[in-house]
Amino acid sequence: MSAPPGGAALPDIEACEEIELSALRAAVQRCRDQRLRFITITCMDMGETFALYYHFDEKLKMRHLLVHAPRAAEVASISDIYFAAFLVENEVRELFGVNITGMAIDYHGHLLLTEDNEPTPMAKVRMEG
Amino acid sequence: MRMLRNVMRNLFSRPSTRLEPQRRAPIPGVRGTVAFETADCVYCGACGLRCPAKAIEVDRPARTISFDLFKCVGCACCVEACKKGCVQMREAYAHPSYQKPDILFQGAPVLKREEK
Amino acid sequence: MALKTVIPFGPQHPVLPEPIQLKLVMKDEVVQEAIPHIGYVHRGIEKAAEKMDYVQNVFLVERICGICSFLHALCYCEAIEKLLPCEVPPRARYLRVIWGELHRLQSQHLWLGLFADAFGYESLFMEFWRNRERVMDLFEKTAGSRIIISTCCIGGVRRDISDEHLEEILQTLKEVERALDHSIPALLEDYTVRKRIVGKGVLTAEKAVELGAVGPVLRASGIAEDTRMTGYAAYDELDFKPVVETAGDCYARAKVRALECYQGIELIRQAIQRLPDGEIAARPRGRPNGRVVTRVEQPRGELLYMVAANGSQKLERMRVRTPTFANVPPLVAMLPGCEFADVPVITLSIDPCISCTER
Repeated sequence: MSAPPGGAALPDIEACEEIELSALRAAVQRCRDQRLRFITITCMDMGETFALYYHFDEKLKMRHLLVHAPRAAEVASISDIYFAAFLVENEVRELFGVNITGMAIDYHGHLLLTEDNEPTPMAKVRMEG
Repeated sequence: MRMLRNVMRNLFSRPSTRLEPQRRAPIPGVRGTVAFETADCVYCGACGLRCPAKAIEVDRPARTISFDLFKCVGCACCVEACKKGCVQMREAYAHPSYQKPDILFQGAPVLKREEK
Repeated sequence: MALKTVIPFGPQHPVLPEPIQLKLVMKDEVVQEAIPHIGYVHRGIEKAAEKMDYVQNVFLVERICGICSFLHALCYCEAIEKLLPCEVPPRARYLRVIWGELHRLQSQHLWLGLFADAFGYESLFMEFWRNRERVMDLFEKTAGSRIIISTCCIGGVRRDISDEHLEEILQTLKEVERALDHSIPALLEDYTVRKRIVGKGVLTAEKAVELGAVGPVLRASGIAEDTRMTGYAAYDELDFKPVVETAGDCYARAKVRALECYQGIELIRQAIQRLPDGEIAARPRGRPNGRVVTRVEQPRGELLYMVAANGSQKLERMRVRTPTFANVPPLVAMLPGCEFADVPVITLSIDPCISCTER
């Protein structure tokens, strides 16, 4: 995050590691090897890109991975590494329209929403089609 | 024999459940329903702005407050917001009803200077 | 040859007041696979939080879940207080512990009752719920309402607890403890009940971490992780140890929750004893700016809030991860291999709160 005009640093998430989209699965696998507990994924709509935070817990200390995914980019699922991720990945895909592929259980966009709802209600920019 | 004692006790003791809110006195300090006292009200609209459920609408020119009891969440934010002490929480529970009326408070029109 | 059948369990089931559907793939009486379906009560609270003022959001987040509403507000307020920044007065921190632990106490009672109801022990259900009513009356007296008590605000708490009320809390806790001494053995030592819950739905420690289990589900599998140990509110000044069981079955989960009732009572006593005098709320100044993650321990497990603010009146994003959301994957892993009659008991043993899950 950029510094505000005042100059003081903004409070930001501690222990946050920013990684490339292509390195995501390898980084998550490293967390798995260190026996971290997967907490959740937070998606933020930044306009051009989605900011995806992957939260992990290590003996009550939190660790975060931050990935910036362009709107149309394909984000590989981590639910084969951490099975627990399948629910939140489905949720992120439905509510934001992030293109996550290869989930362990795929609800095809109907985990929370039904056919009658408009798609991607949480996204700031409405996707076409 | 033990059972008989239980039977007798249950026959003559008070019910362990309490009466529904309409038939017992409210516990003191309870946040019940919002009551407006419009005599001192200046229709500043602070209560309506602070209301998280948007249950209060203040119309300044018309000097009215419309209050939707069924939107109210009983948080008492309006009580804290009111500088004049016109909004209070009554220690009484809202009664069930068949309609959902908006409660409208009409203040006296502003007196013009020459009329005073 | 046995045929495979798919049985939809829920969303309306006598044992569960919560709208979750589990599609159970059955072979004879044995569950082969379970697929959870949620989405019956999605309300879009995360979106609504972006449209409201950050102060008003306190009342919105309390409504995510009725049973642990105070802890939702607490977690949200902690997040905003870190962003402002705003120092919470010590008395307010202790009052937060008292209300938070009372909430945990009533929630564990609610669950113990429902759990007894799940295998048809209805008189025990009523015992627990009658006891819970004592705690609910304390809320009504100290905070003004029973469930959604709205006492937490940014910078502190909105109501003080008077000395008479503190005395009354201690008195009531004594009664609650006595009643618990009476009813908990009926749940944990009864022969028939043990037959229904011992060894059912086993989750090993390794699996629990891997599947991201939280709260009593994690602790029942032998992992001493309680988010209260991170020391939010006044927990860093109180001494307590997380309740840990190692068996990882339904019985262990019930025992963890039962013992947490006693732990909660003990914590409230400590907090009342050490309750300092002074202010109950600091006036928040400025607007929140930055991003922060906070966690608190709910009766059901760890609750996570991530708040992103950009220095305006409204938040950029508020993310809520509720404990049941994390406990659904362990449930899916627990069910295969169990008998159909055990499904309600195992499902209840994670203490599902679906309105939390879907927000």
